[in-house]
Amino acid sequence: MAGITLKNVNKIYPSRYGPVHAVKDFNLEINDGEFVALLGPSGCGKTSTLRMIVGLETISSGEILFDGRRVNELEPRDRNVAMAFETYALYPNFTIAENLSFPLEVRGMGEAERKKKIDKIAQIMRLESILEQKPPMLSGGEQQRVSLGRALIRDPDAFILDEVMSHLDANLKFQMLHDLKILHRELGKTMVYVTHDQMEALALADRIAVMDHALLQQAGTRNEVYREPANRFVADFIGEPPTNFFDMLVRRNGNDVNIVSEDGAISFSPPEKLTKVLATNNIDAVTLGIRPQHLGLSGTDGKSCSLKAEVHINEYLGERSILTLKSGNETFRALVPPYTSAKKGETVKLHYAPEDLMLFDAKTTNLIA
Amino acid sequence: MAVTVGGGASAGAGATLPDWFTSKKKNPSNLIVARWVPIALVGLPVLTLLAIVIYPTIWMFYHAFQDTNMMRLFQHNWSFVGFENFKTVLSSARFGDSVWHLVLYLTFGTGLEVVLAVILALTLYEVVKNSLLRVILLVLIVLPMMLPPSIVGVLWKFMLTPSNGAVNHALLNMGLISTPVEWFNAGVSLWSIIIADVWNWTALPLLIIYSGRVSLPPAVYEAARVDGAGGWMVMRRITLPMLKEVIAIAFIVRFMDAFKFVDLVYVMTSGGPAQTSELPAYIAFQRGIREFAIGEAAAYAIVIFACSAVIITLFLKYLKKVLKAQAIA
Repeated sequence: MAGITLKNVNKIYPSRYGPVHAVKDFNLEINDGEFVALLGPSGCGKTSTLRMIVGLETISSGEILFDGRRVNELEPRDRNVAMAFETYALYPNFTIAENLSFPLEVRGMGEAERKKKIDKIAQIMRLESILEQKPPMLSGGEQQRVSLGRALIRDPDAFILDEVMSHLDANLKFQMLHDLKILHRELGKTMVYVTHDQMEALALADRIAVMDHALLQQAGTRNEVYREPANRFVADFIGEPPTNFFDMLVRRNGNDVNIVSEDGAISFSPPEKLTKVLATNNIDAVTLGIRPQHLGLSGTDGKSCSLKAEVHINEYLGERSILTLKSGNETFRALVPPYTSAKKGETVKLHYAPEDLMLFDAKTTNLIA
Repeated sequence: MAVTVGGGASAGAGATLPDWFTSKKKNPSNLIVARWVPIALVGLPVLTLLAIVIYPTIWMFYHAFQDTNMMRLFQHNWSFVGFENFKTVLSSARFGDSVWHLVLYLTFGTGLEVVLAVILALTLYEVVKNSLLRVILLVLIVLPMMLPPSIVGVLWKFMLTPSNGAVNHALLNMGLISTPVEWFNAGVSLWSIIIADVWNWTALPLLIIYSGRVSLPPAVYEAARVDGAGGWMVMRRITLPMLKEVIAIAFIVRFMDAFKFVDLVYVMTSGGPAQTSELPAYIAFQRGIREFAIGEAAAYAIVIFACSAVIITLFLKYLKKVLKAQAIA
């Protein structure tokens, strides 16, 4: 069992065009038994971070601790972590049973004991029927289960999962999400899960660490990153369809504060809490964010404020429809029930709850709270 | 002219297509091109093949059953002798010896080349991490392969000259031998050819195996590292088994060359002394081109062809089975 601590971790790759700073001053505390997702777009440094945790990549500066013990200089095998790879990385010339057995064999475990462990893992991962086959004959989902099984079998302190679902089709993905969640609950081991898919991160993780441009943007529970994103990037990256953003100006009138677009076409009234904050500081330009889910056609559920906009596109997606709307120079989306009859050119009234507004400083892009 | 083709099933109705597309009248100049270009493109290579490969092969098969020699060839009075030529070939001690030489050559020449290639290729990949140094070494290793075999033969014949050749000179100076080795004596000359051939051709299997190693998935090696496997374990359990097919292919390529191996034998020893370094293909060459025993040479060629075809077929069958077991083919 291990808690993982990253202290000021940096990764700098040398390259022909000068050093590339892939991970900058990364600080994160992963508790023992926690399921943490590292989330970010490709090239943000999440895989580099993970490879440093596993020991496949050297740490340029900073420290990684397992239960307070510095592991910077340790080889992967001495860190007792297991890893599942994006490409599964099964040994293609081994049967599934041999694949599962290899980590044990390396550790010098006897054959009888190995057999027992393989049978147990095969049962957990539903691999009994394919133990004698070779990896290239299996489907992606089966290969990924073998890969997870191989990671599980040697009873590591922590699991590191690198984009393990990015090559699975939607149905399998749901099955695997379920399997992984159950597995984590039963084993209670620390799991670090790297992904670029916010849906996977939201579905699985206790805590999500969002990365962009080599920097940790925010680490928090699912609710925190969804409801109180630390900055515009996090708000944009988490949630689907993406958050609507408006470049707005703050109009103060004594104690009353209004947020108005430059051409005056849209205005929002911020919640009381934010009104107080805005009344006292001197930020004039803000980026306002509101999720398409939080814009509705009816004023129920505390949606006490409203704005008018013209329907531009009405996309019917089965269980819901997405309206693309126009108001002044702004284009934005709202998620509405299916069979909404709004047609192009029609003007509709959109309701929202002021608490759902997210305000970001236009200069720093950080959340104003 | 505008082409508006309606989407989906309604493409036909209401679509305006260009005139040339719908017109019933064919363009006469296009017709000539359309008819004759494909015929010419396919026909010329077929004719060439017929002339330089297929006709001579049929000719060879025909004369393998005739008592053709140069005299009879010019007088056009050869006659059918059945399997006489094959009897001569298969019963001759000379042929039996040459097959034994071929076995030695395949085991110690081709075999050594592939073993050396595996060792060198994997060392180059695992040990030399500087990419510039790697390229320089690869070029150096490949250099001998760029020389024509006849030049290699002359070069090695020169270096192996017993009295004052470079090799004996070096061995004497290093104190490894006390008297010069007679490199071209009976029983030794075949080994001299093998040495020159290994020097000449090791780079080919090396390149094949090296590129095979380069294309192995790096993630598998990372998995092995995380699993805790050491260098030897990885080499023995993962790298070599994964390279099995590539090594087999490298071997097949050199194996096929062995059956037509004439050049170094001809240049270095001419099969001598006393036919102790002859290989089957060299005898066929000697009997046919030098001595004009055309019927017998044709029989030699067919025997060699049949043997190599059988062995290569078995080899490929084995390879296919291995690949199938791994679900690659």
